[in-house]
Amino acid sequence: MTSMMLRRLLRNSTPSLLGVALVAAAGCFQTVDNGAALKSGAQPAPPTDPDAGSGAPFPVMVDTPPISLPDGTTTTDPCVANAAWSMDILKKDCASCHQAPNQVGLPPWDFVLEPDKMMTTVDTRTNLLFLAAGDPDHSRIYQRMANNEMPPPPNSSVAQALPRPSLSDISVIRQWIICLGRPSTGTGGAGGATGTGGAGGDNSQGGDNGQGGDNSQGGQGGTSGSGGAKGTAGTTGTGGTTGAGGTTGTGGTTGAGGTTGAGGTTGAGGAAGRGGTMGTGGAGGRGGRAGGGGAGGRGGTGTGGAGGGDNARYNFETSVQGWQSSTDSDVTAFTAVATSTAQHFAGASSLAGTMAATAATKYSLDVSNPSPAPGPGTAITFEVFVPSGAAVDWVQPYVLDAGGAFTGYYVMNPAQGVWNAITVTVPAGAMTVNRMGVQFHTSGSWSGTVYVDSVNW
Amino acid sequence: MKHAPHAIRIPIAAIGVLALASCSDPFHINTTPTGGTLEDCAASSDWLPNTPPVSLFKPLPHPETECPFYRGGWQNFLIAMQPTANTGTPALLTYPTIDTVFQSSQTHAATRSVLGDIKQAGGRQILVDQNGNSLYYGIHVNQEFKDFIAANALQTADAIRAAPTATPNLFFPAGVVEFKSAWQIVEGDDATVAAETADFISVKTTVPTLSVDPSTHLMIEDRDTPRQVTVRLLAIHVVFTLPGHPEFVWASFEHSAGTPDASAIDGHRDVAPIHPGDTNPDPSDPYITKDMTDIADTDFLLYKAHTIAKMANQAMDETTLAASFDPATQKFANQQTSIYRAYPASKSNSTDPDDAITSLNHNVEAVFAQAVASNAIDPTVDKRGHYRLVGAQWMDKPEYFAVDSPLQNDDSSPFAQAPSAGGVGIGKAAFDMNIQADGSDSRYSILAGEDRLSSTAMESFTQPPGSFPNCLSCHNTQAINSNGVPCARDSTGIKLVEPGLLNVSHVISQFLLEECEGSTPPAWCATSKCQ
Repeated sequence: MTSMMLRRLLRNSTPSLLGVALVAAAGCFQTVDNGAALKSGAQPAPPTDPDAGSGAPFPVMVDTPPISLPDGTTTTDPCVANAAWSMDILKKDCASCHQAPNQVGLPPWDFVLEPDKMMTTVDTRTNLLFLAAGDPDHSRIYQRMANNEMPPPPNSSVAQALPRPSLSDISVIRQWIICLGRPSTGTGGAGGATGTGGAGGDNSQGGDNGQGGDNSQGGQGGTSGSGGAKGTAGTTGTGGTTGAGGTTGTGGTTGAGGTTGAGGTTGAGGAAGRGGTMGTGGAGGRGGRAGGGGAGGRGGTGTGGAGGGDNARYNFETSVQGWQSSTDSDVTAFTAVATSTAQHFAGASSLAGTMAATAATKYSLDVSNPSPAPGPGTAITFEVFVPSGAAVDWVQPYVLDAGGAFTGYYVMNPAQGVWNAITVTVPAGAMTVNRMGVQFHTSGSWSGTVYVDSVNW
Repeated sequence: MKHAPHAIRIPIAAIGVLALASCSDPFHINTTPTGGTLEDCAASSDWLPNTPPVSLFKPLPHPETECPFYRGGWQNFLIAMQPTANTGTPALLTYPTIDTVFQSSQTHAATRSVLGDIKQAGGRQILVDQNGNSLYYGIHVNQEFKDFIAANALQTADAIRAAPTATPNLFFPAGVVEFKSAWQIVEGDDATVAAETADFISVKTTVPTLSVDPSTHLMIEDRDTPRQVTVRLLAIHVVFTLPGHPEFVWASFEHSAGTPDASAIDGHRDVAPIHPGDTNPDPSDPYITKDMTDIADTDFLLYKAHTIAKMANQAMDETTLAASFDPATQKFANQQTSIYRAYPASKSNSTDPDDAITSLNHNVEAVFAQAVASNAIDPTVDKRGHYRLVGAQWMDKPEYFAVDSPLQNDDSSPFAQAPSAGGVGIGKAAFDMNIQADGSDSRYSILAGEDRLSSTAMESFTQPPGSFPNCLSCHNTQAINSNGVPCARDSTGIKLVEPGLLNVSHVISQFLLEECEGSTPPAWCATSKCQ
C-alpha cells in the first residue's frame, strides 16, 4: 500500500505548476510553524523534490468507517462484529458436537449456535449458565475453552485431534460474552398488545437482552436485543418497526425475520420462524395475523398481533388438549389446571396452572403420548409465563421417553411478567416420547398461577 | 491490500493555491482530493474534543485494510493525552503506574519520581540530548490493565513468576492499554520554557536524581529522591489489545513541528531525521558501520547536524558516559548521542509509508482543524494535534500466538517449514524470498503493519538491520531477561520470568526488574539465569 501512483503523478505533472505547488507548500511551512520548527530543528521541506509532501492529495474523511464483517457485510456495532466472529468460531470448533442434530456432552447438549438458549440454560454439572451475559469467567462454554478442555484433546475416547479455537479465537469469544451483558440505554416505548416493551432508547443501542421501544429515530438492538422503531436487531434480537431481525430474531413491522426468527408486520418469517402481522410464515413457522398466525408483537412500536390465532400444536385456544398436572414422589399437583384468557402468548388463551405452595415445591404441567410424537433431535418450544412477584426460581421443559429416560434443561429465574421461550430437544437415540411438559419450582411458599402456551415443534 | 480507493482529479496547481490559502492557520489543511489511487483511512469527527472509548472488535486480516488497527492507535493516543481542563496536563499522568499496579517487596520513599528509567530496553543504553540531558521514560497503563492484574492476583513478583505454570492460558483481554512515553527536559527562564513547550504536550513533574555508582562506575537512578523539572513529550508507544489480538497492537507516535504532516517525507518530524536518500539500510551492512552519508545539515531534537550515518544511532559506553556526569547539573557534560530514523517508513521492503497511515494522519489533521475552527478545542491547551502516528505492528495471523514463540517471520514461522500434508509451510527458501520481497504484506507473513518499527526516542540504538527488527522481537512469549529481551536472543542477565502469554507486556517484566534492582532483592534474582 504505497504512494507510488501519487509519486508518478507528481513526477509527470507540469513542472511550472508543480513548482508553484511546492513553493507554496514550503512558504506555508515557514509561516505556519513560526519558528517552532527552526528552534526544534525540523527538516525543511525539500523545495524541488517531487516526492515531498504526502498529506495534501488525500481526501478528508472524518466519518467513522463501518466495521467489516467476515461475511463481507458491515456494521456500526462492534458487538455485532464480535457476535459474527464468535458464531464462525463456534461453528468451526464446537457445532460438530454441540449443535443439533449433533448432541454430545454430559449431559448431551446441542445448542451451541443458539445464544439465547445458552444464556438461559444451566449446565447441570456446574450449575453455571452456558453463557452468562457479560461474565465470560462464569460462562461454562468460555471456561471450557479457556481452560483448554474443549474441544477435548486426543484421548481414550477422542482418537483424532479436533479443530481447536486459538487463543485469538478465545479472546473474541470473551469479548462477545461481555457484549452480551452490555447494559441497555435509554427508555423503551410500549410493546404491542401482547408484546413487551423494552429498554432500547432513542438513537441508542438496545440492551443485550432488552427490547426496543417506540423510537422515532431508530435505535439498534444489541446482540440479542431488540431494535427500536426503525432499528436493527442484534444477532438474536427483535427488529424495530422497519428493522430487520437478527439471525434468530424477529423482524420489525416491515422487516424480515432472521433464519429462525419471526417476520415483522408485513415481513416474511425466517425458515423456522413466525410470519408477521401481515406476513407469511417461514417453512416451519406460523403465518402472520392475516394468515392465521400473529404472535404478540415484540419490540418496536408493534401493536401486537392481538387479533391473530395460534397455530401451535398445543395452543389451548379451546381446551387443555389433554394437558394435566402430574404428580410424583417429589412433584406436587397444581390445585387447578384450565385454559385462561388472563394471559396468552398467541391467540386468545393459554393453559393456566394454579399452585398453592407452602414451601419449596415442584410442579409439572404436561401431556402424555403427544401425537405426533416428536422424534429424536426435535426441539420443542414452550412459551411460559410466570407472573411478577412469583417465587418461581426455575422452570424446566422436559421429555420422558418410553424407556423412562428423562431429558430436561433448567432455566433459572425465568423472567417475570413476560413470556419466556424455553426449549428441550429430544435426545438422539431416544425412544418414543410418552410425556412432555414443563416443571415449575418454587423457592418457598407462594400462591398464584403460571401459564403455558404455544407448545410447538 | 483491499482498500477503498478514491478518484483524484484536481490539477496539481491547486495544491499550491490551497497550500497558500492554508498559511494563516496552523491546523488548516488542504481538503481537496487530487490525483492518484490511495488507500483511505478515515478519522472520526467525534474524536474531539472528548475522545470516546475505542470500539472493541476484531478487524479483518490481510488483504483487508489495516485502517482499523491504525485508528485504534490514534484513538487510544487521543484518550490518554486528553488534556485536563485549564492545565492541559494529559490524562496519562493520572493513569496507574508500576508503583500503583503492583505490590513491591522493596522499601520506597513515600513520594517517588513520576518518570524514571533513563536506560533503553534492549541494551540498557542511555540517550543524551543536545543539552546533555538524558531522556526520561514513563510507563503507564489504563485502568483495565490494572483491573486485569488485580482480578488475577498478579500484583506480586511471586505471583507473576508462578503464572506461566499456574495459569498458562491466561492472556490479556481486549481493552487493555499500556504506554511508554519519552520526555525531554526543557530548561531556561519562563519565557524560554513557554516557547519550547508551546507546541508540545508538556508538564511539570519529577524525575529521578542520577548519580554514578562509585564501584561499578555505572549510572544509578534514585526515584526515591525526585527532582522537579519541566518535560515535553517527544514520542510515545500506545500499545493495546483488541478482540482476537491478545499479542497487543503496537502503535508509535512522535512529535511533529507543523502541518501538513501525514508522513515523515513531509519534513515536519523534528525528533530525528530520515536518511536523506529516503532509503532503507543496506542489509549487507547490518550494523550500519559503513554508511558515510551526512544525514542532515540541521539540528533535530535528538540529532546533531552533520552526523554521518555510521556515527549516528550509536550509544556511548556507559562508564564513559558516567565519567562525564555532573551531579550538580544532572547533565552529561559535552556529551550527546545523535539519532536518525534508519527505516524511513518503518518497513523492511519499502520506504513508502503505508497509505492508510498517511491518510489517517491527514484526516486527523482535518479533525483538529475542524475542532479549532469551531472552538471545540483550545489549541493553546490541547496539544494532541502536534503528534503523528509513525506506524504500528500486530499479528496478521494471530492464530499463531502461542507460548514460547518468537512471533517473527523467521525460521519459527509455520510458513517457513517444509511443505507437508495438512501443513502451511512452503519451505524456508520460498518463505524468505516472499518476506524479503513483500515484508509484512506477504501472504506468508504472520505479522502486519510496520515490520521495522522503532521509536527514535526509545529504541534509538537498536534500529540497524542486524539488531531487533521490531516490537515483537522483544515483546513475545519467550522467557525475558533483565535487559527486557527474550533469553533466546540475549542469554545474559537475570531470567525474570519463564515463557508465558503475558510476557508480551514488559510492564510486568519491568516490575520484576525493579524488584531485582531494589535494596533487598528477592532470592530468585541471584539464581534465575537465562543460561
